[in-house]
Amino acid sequence: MSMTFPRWANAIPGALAAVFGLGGGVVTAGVWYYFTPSYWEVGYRPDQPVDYSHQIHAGKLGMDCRYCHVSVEDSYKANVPDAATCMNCHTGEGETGFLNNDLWRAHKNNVNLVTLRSSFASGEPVRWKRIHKLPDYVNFPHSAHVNAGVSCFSCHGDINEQKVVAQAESLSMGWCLECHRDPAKALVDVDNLLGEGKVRVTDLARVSKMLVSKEQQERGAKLAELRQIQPPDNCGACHY
Amino acid sequence: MSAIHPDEATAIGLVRPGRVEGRDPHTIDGTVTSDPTKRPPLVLGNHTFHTVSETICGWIQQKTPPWWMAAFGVSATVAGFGTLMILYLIITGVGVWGLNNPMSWGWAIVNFVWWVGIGHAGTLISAILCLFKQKWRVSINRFAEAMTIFAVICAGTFPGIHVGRVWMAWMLFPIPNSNAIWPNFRSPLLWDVFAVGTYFTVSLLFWYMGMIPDLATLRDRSIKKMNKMVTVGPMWAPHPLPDFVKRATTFQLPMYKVAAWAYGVLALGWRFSSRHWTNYEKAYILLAGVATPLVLSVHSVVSFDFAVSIIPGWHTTIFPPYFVAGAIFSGFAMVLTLLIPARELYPGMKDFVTARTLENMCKIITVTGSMVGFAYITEFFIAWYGGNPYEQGAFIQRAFGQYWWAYFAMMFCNVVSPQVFWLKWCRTTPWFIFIVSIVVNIGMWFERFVIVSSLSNDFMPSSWAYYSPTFVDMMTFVGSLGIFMTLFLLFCRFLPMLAISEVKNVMHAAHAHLHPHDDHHGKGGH
Repeated sequence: MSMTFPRWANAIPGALAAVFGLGGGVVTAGVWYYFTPSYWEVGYRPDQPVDYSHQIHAGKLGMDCRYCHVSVEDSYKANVPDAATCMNCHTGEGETGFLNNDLWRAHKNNVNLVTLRSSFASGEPVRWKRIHKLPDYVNFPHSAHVNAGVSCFSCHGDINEQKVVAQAESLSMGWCLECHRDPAKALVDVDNLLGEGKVRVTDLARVSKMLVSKEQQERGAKLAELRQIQPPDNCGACHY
Repeated sequence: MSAIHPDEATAIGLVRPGRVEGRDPHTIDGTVTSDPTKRPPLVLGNHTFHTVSETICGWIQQKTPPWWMAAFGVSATVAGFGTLMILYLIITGVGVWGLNNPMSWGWAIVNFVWWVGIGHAGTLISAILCLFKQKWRVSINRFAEAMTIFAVICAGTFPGIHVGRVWMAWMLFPIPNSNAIWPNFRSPLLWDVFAVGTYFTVSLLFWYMGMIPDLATLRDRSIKKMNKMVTVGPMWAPHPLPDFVKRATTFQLPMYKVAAWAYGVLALGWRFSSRHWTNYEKAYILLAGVATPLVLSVHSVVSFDFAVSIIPGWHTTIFPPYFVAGAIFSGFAMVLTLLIPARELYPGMKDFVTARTLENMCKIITVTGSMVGFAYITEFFIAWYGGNPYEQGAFIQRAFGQYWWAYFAMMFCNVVSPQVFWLKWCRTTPWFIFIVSIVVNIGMWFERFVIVSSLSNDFMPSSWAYYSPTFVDMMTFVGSLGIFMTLFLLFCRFLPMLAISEVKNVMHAAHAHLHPHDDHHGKGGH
């Protein structure tokens, strides 16, 4: 019987196994890493029409997040403030405002303030680019989370340090569930139940240190028990 | 060998066709006998090992028969049309089917269960009958295994497209994902994915592994003619076709070289050495052992899709055995539906697929058909005896409600029709068996429809609704038949339909130590 295949054909099965084994591994690893919101979403940092710096306002000046995002405690949505909110401080020369006229003169030709003032005058809103966006088939009540003692930091990261805001977390469903199954790591003591002093959810500088501390797990577990926090993990909790 | 096992003695041909005494005059080829002490040969005709290979490989290596071209054309067209229907469904949504609110499963699950059931015969024949040393199975096991695989492919299509968003069908499997969504491990629908997936894998391995020696035979036969060119072109074309067109579309192709390479790759270097055979036999019996529980488990799990729910008429413990019996029933019927025409169309196939083979299959059909009939009656008895008014209501609806015609079609086809095989004439007359096998297939489809249509009358009478299929429903089902037939015809054309080496194993010549005049020793001669 003559040979159908040359002798080196004996190496083909092994080579195929190696190629498919390796190739399969590479494809799996690639999908595992790249096909995820943590790859595609985290770090999204678009240019905004106004160079508003959270680092200055929330960080350096220590403004409470709720000064601008007023509705966060009462509503599903944390509102983006309109120009009128900015005008509380950034009013024009001779008008009543928190900023004195010297500061006003120094920033007179700041292009960002010009944009804001024209928005305030015309009523045409500033076209902010939305960063944190959930699909329309999921409901996320800000109020429920904030009132339960989940800090802004847990989802939005160190906003107080960011000149231009970027997305900090993947906001994938797996990420939501991770916290819903173990809320202890995100809870802060908003009512001074532990007797260590009241903690504001918006006090990002403080909270960011607390949440990564060793005691957080124990503290959070105690808080979850005292406040009877049992986040739902059924479909209908968010998809309704 | 000094002592001959009685079973051996009969199989090796102490009884030869010409010498059977008291042969029943009614039988067609002398292989059916009413004398239990005599066992007719499994292979008729004066076959040697060489002529067996010649006959079975000849079906592949000779010119494509015209009937095959015609049948393939029709099947492929129907399959294509069915595929278009599926495409339409994917583009438009499951609303193109006749699904309504209480009857949310519709024909998709009916077809799924029907096809999976049909897929049971192959493994039963190759695994369970192998373990029970039923040698008559060797002429049909390859055929039945191929049918199994194609049936399971058709079955798998339906849940895949019924999910609606087919691009999410991967969610049937427990794959880690960033949504942290897992299938419900407590749901029989997930068990079903595992059961059918395992069954398909094992059946495919069993089929392929059993075929390796035969693929090697085909490889070696192709090598012999390696340098022969084959004319491929419109030889069948109508006469008025201009010569230049014929010339331009006719090619001399080295088809034997292609075949040698293709079969060579598939044969995985099989050299008919005794070490290969030893490993082969071990692997075969191991796979038979692995496949045997699957025959019972797959349709049990399919029945859980219904039985684990709380719908009256579904929530019964009788479902697993009753489904398994029904699956074997329909599987054997489908094997007969395909086997009987093939037996007529392929020259020499009747030497291997004898009247006795058909008779044995008819007997299995009668047995399993009676089991199914018994289950139907038991269901009714328990509905009455159990005293549950909802259960009773479901069964009254089933027999006398809006789908009474389906119920009585099922009863006639599945319970009454297989009883004809008590008569010898009925179970030895191929055309008659063919008709009954089709009736049984229709009946088993109706059985699944009867079960699924229980949904029409759900818990809230205000939502009761009548389900009627749409054109797309029907054509998708017909299309699945087309896909099945297309695959099957390709199998008949390009792969050995009968297990050559196994057939040789049950011939007289394989036991040459008792017949020194036989010239071949060992199997695998070619």
